[in-house]
Amino acid sequence: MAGFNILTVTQITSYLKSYIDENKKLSGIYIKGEITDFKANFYSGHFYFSLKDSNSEISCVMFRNFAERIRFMPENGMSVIVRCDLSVYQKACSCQLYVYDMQPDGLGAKHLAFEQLKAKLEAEGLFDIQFKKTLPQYPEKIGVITSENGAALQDIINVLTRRWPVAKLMLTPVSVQGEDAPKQLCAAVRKQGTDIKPDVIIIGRGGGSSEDLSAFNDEALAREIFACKIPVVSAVGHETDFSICDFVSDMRAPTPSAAAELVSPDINSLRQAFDDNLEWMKDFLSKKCDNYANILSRFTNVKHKDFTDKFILERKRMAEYLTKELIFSYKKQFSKKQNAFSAGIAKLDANNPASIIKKSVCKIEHDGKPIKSAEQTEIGDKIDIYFSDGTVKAEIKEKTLGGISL
Amino acid sequence: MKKEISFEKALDRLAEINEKLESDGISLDESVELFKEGIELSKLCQKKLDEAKLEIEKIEIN
Repeated sequence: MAGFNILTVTQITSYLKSYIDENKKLSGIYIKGEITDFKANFYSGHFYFSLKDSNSEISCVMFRNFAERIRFMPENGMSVIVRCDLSVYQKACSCQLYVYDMQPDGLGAKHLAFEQLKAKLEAEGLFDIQFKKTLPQYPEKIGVITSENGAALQDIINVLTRRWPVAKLMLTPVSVQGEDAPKQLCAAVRKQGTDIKPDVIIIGRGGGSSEDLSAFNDEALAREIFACKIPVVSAVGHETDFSICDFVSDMRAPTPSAAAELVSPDINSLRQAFDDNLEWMKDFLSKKCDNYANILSRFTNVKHKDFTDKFILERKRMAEYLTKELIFSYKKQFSKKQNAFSAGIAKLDANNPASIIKKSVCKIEHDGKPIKSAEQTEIGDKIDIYFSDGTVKAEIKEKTLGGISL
Repeated sequence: MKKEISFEKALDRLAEINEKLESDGISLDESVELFKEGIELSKLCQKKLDEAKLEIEKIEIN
């Protein structure tokens, strides 16, 4: 056999396995069939079975982590739809299905469509927790998208009236079932999100058959809700009903009443909170005032009052004393200067020629003619002497010539 | 103070006031001012709660 490329068994089975695994068309597939040879391994928890139809049969395995999640127990003869990948079990080179979800068939195409849409949107990330918006604590406007005549609206009104009548309910009435319902629901979400812009939106309806609730499984609606910038709470049907709308919304409420509870704070707790705060502030301020009062009273008690009074009195006296001293020394200075000034004036006065004349000189006339010297006179002359303060008449009795000093 | 203040803002402001009241180095005058504001705010909110009556507005899609 020289010249041929010889493979081992493992090589060929490995090749086959990777060939199949790499084919995207063979993963995430939905397969419908009847269960046969079903075994649930007691120890491992894995399910081993085959699916068959009238012509073929294929073996399947469903590992425990997936098997645990299905909400019914598979049985031989049961018709189911499984979601799975096709791969190869190398040891026996057997093609088998690795199942990760299983639903009983018979719910019809609608159910399958639901599962497919759910898987598709989930894969796209529309249900990711990172996109979930937080609900506001105290919404002032609550948008409601539901039927105007349904029980859901009445339930929501009742809860809000009791818990949070502060809010304004912004209703966009829609049909929640029937052919036109998905379109109306979409339009309502858009209107709420872009025009009305409430703080939170409730979308939902009361209970009904799965056919009745199907409008809430619409793909366009899911995308509209995902795009909505305002938090959306979904409340479709009863607690046991799940819709696409529930998965894509920011929060799922089991019923419309529960949705109203979820979006609203309790008015009475808020009242209590304001009351408590008021009490706290009053307490706090009165404590603070007491504190200050204490500090103040330490300064104003008798002992300290005496002290402060004495202190002030001392300073007052000192001020008075200093004032007196100041006035006294000023006066002293002033009188000294005044004396010196008077003395100066007196001295000046004494040396004033006018004064000298005023003191000693008078005018002497004889027969109306002025006498300026002794020589002009004769013994016996009758002369008039004019003083500054009066006139006297005199007679010359003696005459001696020769100067005298004045 | 605005009449339209939201509960969220009112509660935030009250928390802020409480924090300031408790902080050191705040004067008595400031405390009284904050206290007055807090009381007013609380009363305004209480009044808003007491007078609240659920309003319903209907907006048609088209």
